[in-house]
Amino acid sequence: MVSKIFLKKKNEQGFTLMETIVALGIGLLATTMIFYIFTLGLQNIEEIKNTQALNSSAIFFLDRATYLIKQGKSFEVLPTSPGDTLIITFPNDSTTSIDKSDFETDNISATTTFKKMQKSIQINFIIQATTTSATTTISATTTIAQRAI
Amino acid sequence: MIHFCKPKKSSFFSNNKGFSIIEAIVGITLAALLLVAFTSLITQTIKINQANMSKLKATMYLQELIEIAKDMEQSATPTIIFNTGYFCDTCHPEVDNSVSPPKWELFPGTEPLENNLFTRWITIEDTGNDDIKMATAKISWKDTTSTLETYLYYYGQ
Repeated sequence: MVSKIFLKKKNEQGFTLMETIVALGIGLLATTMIFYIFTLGLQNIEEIKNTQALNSSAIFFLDRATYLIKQGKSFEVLPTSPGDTLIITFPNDSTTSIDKSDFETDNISATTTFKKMQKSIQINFIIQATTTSATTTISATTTIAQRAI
Repeated sequence: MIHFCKPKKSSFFSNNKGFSIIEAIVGITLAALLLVAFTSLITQTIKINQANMSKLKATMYLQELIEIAKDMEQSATPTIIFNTGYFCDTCHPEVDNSVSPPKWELFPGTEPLENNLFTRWITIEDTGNDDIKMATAKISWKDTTSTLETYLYYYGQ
């Protein structure tokens, strides 16, 4: 009686080679897809962070440049490598400057060039945010006019 | 006498039947739904990110038109735009590098930017007073159009 129960024949067939290969293939495919999608998601999050940082940086720079240029009496463009520095002279003859350092933080690098027009300054800037898994760049040209005096 | 219970056939560990086709299809469908949902989430965030970037650039390009108009308000002598009857509908700015420092000029037509991603133009109209003109700057990208308006005053250079 005891031996009849314990020695009952079990299913000992296991998987065939074909089943194992198909299962491994499907598993590998699924793992690759999930890994790819999650990597893409993480990279996307980094890019959004970068874009947010660049937007804030660009808005800060443009606000500062607008504020200073509107008050400026005369301007001088100093070539620095790379890019330029804009020296602004105010009506009381004090001076200040704007350049790429207005953009730069730990992970943001920038290049700025300025072109003096008759009553405005044309600004060209390239800013780049870099993190471990993503690099985002914004380049744009804009113009800021002097305030009508 | 020892009695051993015979395992039920339907017990979880003794069921050697494997998955049925229905179970496999349900499992694969759930996995596919999750993947599609996650992919669509990522695609959507990428689109929103790009839209934000485009909006920032559009704002800069639009503001630039107003600033160019403000440059012309002060720089032209006598300012062309303050001539009686001057009207510029759908114009775009260009830099005239033949003078020093270079000056802005307006020409008819729209201006494509960044491989036609943006199109901008400016209109300068009479206000009934020759010393005051109205400048309307517009930019369009995808299915969006933004507008900024300002008044230009003749300072009598």
